[in-house]
Amino acid sequence: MTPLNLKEIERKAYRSTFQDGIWDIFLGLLLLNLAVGALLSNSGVSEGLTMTIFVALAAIFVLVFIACKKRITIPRMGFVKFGPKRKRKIWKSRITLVASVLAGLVVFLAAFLIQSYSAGRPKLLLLLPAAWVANSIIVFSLLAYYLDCTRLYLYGVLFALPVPVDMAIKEFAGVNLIALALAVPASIMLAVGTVLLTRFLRDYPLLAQEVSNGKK
Amino acid sequence: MEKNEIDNENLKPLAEIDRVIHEPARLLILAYLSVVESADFLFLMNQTKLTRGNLSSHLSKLEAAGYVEIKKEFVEKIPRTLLSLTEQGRNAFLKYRRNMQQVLDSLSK
Repeated sequence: MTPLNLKEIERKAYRSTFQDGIWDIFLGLLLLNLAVGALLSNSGVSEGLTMTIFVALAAIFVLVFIACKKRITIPRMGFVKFGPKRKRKIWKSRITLVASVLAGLVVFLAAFLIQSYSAGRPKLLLLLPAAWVANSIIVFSLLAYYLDCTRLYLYGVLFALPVPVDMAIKEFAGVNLIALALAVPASIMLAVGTVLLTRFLRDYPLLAQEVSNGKK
Repeated sequence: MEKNEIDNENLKPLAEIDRVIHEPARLLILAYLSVVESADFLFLMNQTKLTRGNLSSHLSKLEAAGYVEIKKEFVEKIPRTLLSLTEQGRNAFLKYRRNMQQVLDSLSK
């Protein structure tokens, strides 16, 4: 039974918007996109083309995400506008995401500079993976907190792991498996998302149009 | 007066309990609407687990009492029934909570 605690009711209503698995699939696809980028880069495709494909795929995933929310989630779950407190939290999560992207760009640019200065100073090479791990864990933890979605803590770890795992594999086995290191956690997210989406489609069947309007 | 005897003065708020809100399903509807800006019929039906007919009939009563506003709108040619708590509904819900709290507090003494 739902406890009549208004804070809990609001939280439950908000968390229900994450039951569709679409966020999980979207994040999994973004990580898979990085794996594709790494694969293309490793197979000799030019950086420019790799980047173009990456950005194009990311844009497609964003559009698919929006379309899925509009065409799958809302017709089944219904539409809701949350109150000012929740809106503030959602804004904070957006700002966190933008800050994360900006931080990522700064780190990306810094990496080029570091690489040119790192000859003979291997410790500097650790800065980029360390920044990647810290950025992933901090950003996903903040998102998990602001969005009340505990799975995002796990996804922070899944996003953070591939870079250090790849470094360890390179160090001990001497092979470059970054694409695989990215694809495995991406597959976990995609699997979780698919299970959630299947469950969501089963639990929230598409009702006749008039039902959503309260008419028989 | 003995300690265990219920003081009738304390139960005065009971007479002020709003019967429109006191029905469990309507209380649940108002609880949900009080924590969101607005929601459509389907969202409320999914959250409260009430049947279509049940929800519809309770919403009609809440609308008649002036507690809930029901707006029909079209989004990309698809009709949507948007529900929100009116100012009067919000005040009535707050008053109901206060009264019930007083009643329950007096019962626990």
